[in-house]
Amino acid sequence: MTYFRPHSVPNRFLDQKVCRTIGLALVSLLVGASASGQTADAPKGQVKDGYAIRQSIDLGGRIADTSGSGAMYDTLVNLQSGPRILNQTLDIHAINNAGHLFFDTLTATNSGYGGDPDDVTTLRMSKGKLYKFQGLFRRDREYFDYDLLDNPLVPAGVVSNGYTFPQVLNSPHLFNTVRRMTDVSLTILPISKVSFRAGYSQNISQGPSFSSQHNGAEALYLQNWRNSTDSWLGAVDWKPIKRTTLTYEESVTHYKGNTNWQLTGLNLQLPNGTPATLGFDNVTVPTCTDGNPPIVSSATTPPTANPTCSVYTGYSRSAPTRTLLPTEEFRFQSSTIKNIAMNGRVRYTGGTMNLPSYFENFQGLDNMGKQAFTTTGFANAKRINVSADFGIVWQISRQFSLSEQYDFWNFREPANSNLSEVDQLSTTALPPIGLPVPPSVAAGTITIAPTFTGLKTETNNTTLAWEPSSKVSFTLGYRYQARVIRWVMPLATDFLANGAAYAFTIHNNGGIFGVAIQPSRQWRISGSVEASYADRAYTQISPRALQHYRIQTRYKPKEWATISGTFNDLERRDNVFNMNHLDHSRSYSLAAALMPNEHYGLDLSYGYSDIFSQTTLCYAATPAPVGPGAGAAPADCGTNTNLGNGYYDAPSQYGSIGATFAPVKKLLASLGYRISAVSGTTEFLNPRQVAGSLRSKYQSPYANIAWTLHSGWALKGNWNHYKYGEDGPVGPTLPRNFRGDVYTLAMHYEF
Amino acid sequence: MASKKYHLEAAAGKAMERTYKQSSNGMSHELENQFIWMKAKLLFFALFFLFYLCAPLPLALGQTQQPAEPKSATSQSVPAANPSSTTGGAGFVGADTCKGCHEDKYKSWANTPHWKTALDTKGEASHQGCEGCHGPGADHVAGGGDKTKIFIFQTASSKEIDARCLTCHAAAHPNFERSPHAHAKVSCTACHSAHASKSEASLLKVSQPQLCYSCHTDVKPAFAQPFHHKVDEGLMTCSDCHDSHGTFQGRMLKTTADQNAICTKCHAETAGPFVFEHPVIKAEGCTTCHSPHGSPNARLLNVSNANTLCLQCHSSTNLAAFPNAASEQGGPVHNQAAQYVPCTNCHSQIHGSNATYNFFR
Repeated sequence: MTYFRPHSVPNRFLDQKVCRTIGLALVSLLVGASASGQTADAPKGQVKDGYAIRQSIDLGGRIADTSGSGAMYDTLVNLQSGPRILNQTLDIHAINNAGHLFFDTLTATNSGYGGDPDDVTTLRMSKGKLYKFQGLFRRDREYFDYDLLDNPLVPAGVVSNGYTFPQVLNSPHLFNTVRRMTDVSLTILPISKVSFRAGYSQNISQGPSFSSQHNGAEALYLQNWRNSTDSWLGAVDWKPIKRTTLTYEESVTHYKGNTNWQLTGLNLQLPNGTPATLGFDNVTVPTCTDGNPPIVSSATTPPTANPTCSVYTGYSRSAPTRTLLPTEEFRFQSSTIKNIAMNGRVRYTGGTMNLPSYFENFQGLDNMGKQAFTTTGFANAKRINVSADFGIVWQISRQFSLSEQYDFWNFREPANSNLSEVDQLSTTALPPIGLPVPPSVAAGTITIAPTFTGLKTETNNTTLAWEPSSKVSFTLGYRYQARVIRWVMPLATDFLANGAAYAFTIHNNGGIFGVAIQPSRQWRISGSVEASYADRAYTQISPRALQHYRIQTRYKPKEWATISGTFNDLERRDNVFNMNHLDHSRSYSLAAALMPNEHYGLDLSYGYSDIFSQTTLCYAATPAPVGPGAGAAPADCGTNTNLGNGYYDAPSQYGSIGATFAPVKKLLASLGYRISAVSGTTEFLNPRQVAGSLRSKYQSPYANIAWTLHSGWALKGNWNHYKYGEDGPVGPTLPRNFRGDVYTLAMHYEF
Repeated sequence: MASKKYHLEAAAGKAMERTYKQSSNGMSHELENQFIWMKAKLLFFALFFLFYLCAPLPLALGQTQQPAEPKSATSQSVPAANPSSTTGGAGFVGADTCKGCHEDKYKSWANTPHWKTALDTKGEASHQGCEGCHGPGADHVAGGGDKTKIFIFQTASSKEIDARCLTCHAAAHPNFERSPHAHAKVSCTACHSAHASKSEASLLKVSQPQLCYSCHTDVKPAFAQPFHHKVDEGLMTCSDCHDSHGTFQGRMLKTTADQNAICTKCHAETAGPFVFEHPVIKAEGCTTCHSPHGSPNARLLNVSNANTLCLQCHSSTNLAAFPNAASEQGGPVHNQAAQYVPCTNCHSQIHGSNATYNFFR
């Protein structure tokens, strides 16, 4: 299968061309630097029209040299060769903050443009007490091809009539999309008694990707990913009296889902020449209803498939969806009353989802005898969300304070779909021979599904704080939460004979004890212990019992030295009979940052974490698995007769060291090394499964140097090495190890 | 051992520094310290009179001077309290007076958004300029720079600092006093600096995520995992998902306006509402299946094998406790050993579907 990739073959000619281009650009900038006549003492920036203006730009490029898995490199790193605007800043300040029409301050930054997977632009402007504006644009290239994800692990040697069914060497759910996110906000009269806010956010995510579906065989779809969200915000903040603010906020979010799906991977043909595919999940030779092999002939180009097998010759689906979510929110905050600080909010959302014209068409032959089916219809849903929150802190005395927080949240999502499916039945994927005859059409199936999902949650947190001195404080809190989960799904299915409707109530009680100590101004230690118990759990992995232990410390013996550490242990269990769910997340970490002077600095980090979970589960497997944990499942599991323990353990270590040197004013260099290693184990349900990234090391040493040629001119060089390797076997896919060296050269100019 | 540093300045603007070490019981250093102290006092008085006599000259010539940090016992001449551009009031002297001694602090403050407090002519002097944070300065000035007569953030308790900042910023951060940061004595100045910030917009001492990593050392390794949200790459910040000043939610997480998980702000296609919801997502949250900071598993899943993740819930091993387990009982048998197919190959619309109850499409 051929998949999308930014580059499939390392192009040495391209790299040489890139090197020459970057080199020429840097030489010309160097010449420009020496001809600029700037002296070592020349000030950077300029003053013009009452503004102090400072700008900088880093122009250069990257040269990437990689080996090994290009797919994995593109998934984890994705830095390619080419010229770049690495960084650009603009800073404009009105001198003495006075007397300008449009703005007093303007700052803008740009980074990563020219080919990096992530580009960021920021813009901030403000003028006195008139307005404040912030803008952020981010572009993210999301390339994903971890080939074990959603991979059926087709083994080598699945052969029919001389045709070898291809192994799946890439992820069937590969992504090569781009996300563009814009966030802007404007505040008018920010320090006035009444101020106004307006905001807009846009999120566009689009690009090609793969997906899959099962209709007898597992087909690969080209998923044209196209989603966008626009959000608008308008708000008024009013300070009627001192230390009290009332806010009204209206926000509207509009979502557009235009993703569509088309069949791809047509690597075979039917006897009449129609392109076809038997799917990609052929771990064994598929069987066909006429008893003949799935490949009629491997001598044709492409090979010819048996039309009585589960086969796809065409598929398309579109489900254009529009969702509108208007929300009204009223907030208040007040600390006008002495020793009382309180705030609250009420929110209401009355949202709708509308899918006016669902369309799906299949052609081929599926395992239900359908040569074709077409589904059309519509669907709609609502989201009604009501929430109210209130918090209050009462400073009872100098040493004691009491805080209370109450949260109410209720959302309801009634929904309805009305889909009509018209089937064309046959025993073969081939059209009838001879004159066209009306196909045998089964009565259309209309499915109407009124469904409902809802959740009501009430939470109450009460906390007593005691601060006997400024160096130590204690908190003791109690939390009670009641939740009611409601679900209605009226359709009869293979496992829900009469549909399902339930209201599931959970009560949770918890306590939290915290202590914060400041033995000196330089040293802070905080810790907490939290324990909670729920009378029920919604899912097997939702904890009934939870304990959370945390200690954090931060010590700054000198202004230039910071040492910190954290111990964090989250333990959860749901040890009901035949469930025995246990999970924990334990981490121990230390960090030190030392910068004794402007010449030398050192940064150290180490972290160890252990993520563990196990849950009794039942599944079908033939042949039955062997090993610890394997056993017979209880009768309720039906035909899933094997018992497993879902064992997963991922102990990880992280280490980093970085040193900076500036022996002379003109030279700044840094050197460092980072490694993240995980040596995990898990229960394998299938003998072809491998650990993959669960047993891997990801190393990234780096080195940077910056040489100041003239005041305002600096030459920068940067080397990043990326090395990813897995401990265990590759599995029936392509290897995932890779090495990447990225050299970045840039000229930094300030003016 | 206690040490004190004194900055002494000559009229030409040069700075001299002498470090004293005073021992609380160090009798062996006493004589030496007395001799040094006597010479210092003579020199200081000489310079003091010289400065006092010559002070108008450099000011007239427009030269800038390093601000003095006078010892309280020997008061140095300070500018008299002058009317300033900020509204005066009882006990308040205005920012221009502060500038006279603390010019570098004034300049750094003037380059931050806090300078706008000086424009709030309708507000009280207690909310304007330097005194908006440090309190009325008249006694401090009259006392020759008496540090006990002014609010100094560096020596205040975390609670006092929080109260100061929340005087103006409580509306923007109404949940702070109940937040885990406040309970852990992480005061405003632990992260923000009004005079020496690296990030002008939020006056942060250090940019994200390094600032957050300096305490949350356990989070940095998570973002270094092979699969992670792009925080270290600069695409995202911690404050995209968390509000470090506290929220009504746990873990100081934000939500969308319609109270959906903050994840759906970017991953909008998972928000719904759907006709056929995967109810655990709405009831329990995205972290049921994903580790949002980083994971060794693709798609930030909690376990490496998607089928194990699904079977953890969809197993009828105890129907009495979990009647909604919805494990296949009479339906298709998914032979995990032979026809291994990841669940999401077929159940691809796993976050919710508008077409089929089983999330096929």
